[in-house]
Amino acid sequence: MQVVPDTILNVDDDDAALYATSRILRRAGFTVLEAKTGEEALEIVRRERPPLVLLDINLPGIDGIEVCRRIKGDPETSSTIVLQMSATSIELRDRVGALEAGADSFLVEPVEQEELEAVVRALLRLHRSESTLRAMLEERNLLLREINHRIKNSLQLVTSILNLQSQEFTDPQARERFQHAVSRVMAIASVHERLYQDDDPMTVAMDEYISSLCVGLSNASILDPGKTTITVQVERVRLPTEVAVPVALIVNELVTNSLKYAQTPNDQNVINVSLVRIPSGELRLSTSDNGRGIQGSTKAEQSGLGRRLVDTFVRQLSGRIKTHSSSTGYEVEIIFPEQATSAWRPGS
Amino acid sequence: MEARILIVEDEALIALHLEQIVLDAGHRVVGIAFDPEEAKEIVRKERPDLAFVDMRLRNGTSGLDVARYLREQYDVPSVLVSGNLDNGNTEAATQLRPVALVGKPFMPATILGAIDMAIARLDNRH
Repeated sequence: MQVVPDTILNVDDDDAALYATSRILRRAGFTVLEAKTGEEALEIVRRERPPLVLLDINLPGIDGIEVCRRIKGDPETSSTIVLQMSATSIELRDRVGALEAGADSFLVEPVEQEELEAVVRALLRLHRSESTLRAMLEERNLLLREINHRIKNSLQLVTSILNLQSQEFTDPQARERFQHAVSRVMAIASVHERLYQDDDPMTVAMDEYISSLCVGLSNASILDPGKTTITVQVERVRLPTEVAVPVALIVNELVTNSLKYAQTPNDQNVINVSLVRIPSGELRLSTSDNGRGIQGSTKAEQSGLGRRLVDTFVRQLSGRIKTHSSSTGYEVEIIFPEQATSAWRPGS
Repeated sequence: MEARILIVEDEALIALHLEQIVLDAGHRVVGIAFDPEEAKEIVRKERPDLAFVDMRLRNGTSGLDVARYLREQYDVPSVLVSGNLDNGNTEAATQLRPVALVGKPFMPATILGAIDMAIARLDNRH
């Protein structure tokens, strides 16, 4: 493999100084580009992307400190290493100012040839390891996106198989039970559909999520859509996946149940779903309907899988549940801490 | 109105599931294409009202290219389906003015909603 020499941009308005430092750098084996003004330097940095800029502070027009600020402020060029140079007469204020503007190091002229070479080499090492880290991070992000894509696709395959299979059932009761299973899997899958859609890849925006979940449940239900209204009131709260999934499954069970038993003979069916922060700092999830209440359902339904799932998910969330049933409706209230104890910790 | 729908999806199971949803809603599927070439062939013969297009197709081919082709050559609108809706490719997809962007895994209700939206637009045009 041929080693390409590192390119250094040398910026100085003084011809003699520019010549002297360029000569040292060329002799040390570097490729050297030169600029005499700040404007020229910025243009070359943008065009040639040298890993290191040797930058004199006192330049006509845009001064060295401002040039450095602009190089570091532009995401396209911010990885450029800047070595500020200045004459002995420089004040402390300027040296501090240069470093605060983002310069990576500072040398006061006149500089010994050996020192300049050594500092340049040290800074280039830094640049190389930073580039490696950046490339690794980029690769990691790409991998994460790809894995995420595959998870979503695989979950889609699972839900597609289940949905296709459900067409095969002829016994209405068996079909209904199978549909419950499909609906539970869909609730989990749809949490993943919401992940990685914005800047925060680890959490789900619950307001949008619960609304879309309820729309899905309402459309899948056999109730007359004109007679059923689901109102969703959810605060702008983001929950990590391990909390979002049980919350999704609880909402799925409770709303499915309300859709099944809420039907009143003549009136409009109203189902309310809400998720709000309460003064204690906890979250309160509640659902209510104006149906015939729990008295209307059979004992088997109350002790069924749905109820067991809800109770167990509430425990998983370290929460507590209260139900209120009357002839005018059924209400469930679940209170749980916003940060449920996570089973997984980095390094554990 | 009964819509005539093309499905462009390289996962057989997902294609069948989409077909099932479309048929259950009382619409017609004019064909299932696994890649851009098959899609072009079907659209030339069948002139569908709407296409469901997965954003990633067989052998690394792009669903976005298919959607662009359908829109530019035949004025057929697309519903784009993707397992990777994030900032980057949502932007590229939105530029194609799709009827809807649907994330995977999708709920049948989302697909039905997208079909309704497409039909409403077609009705407006007629």
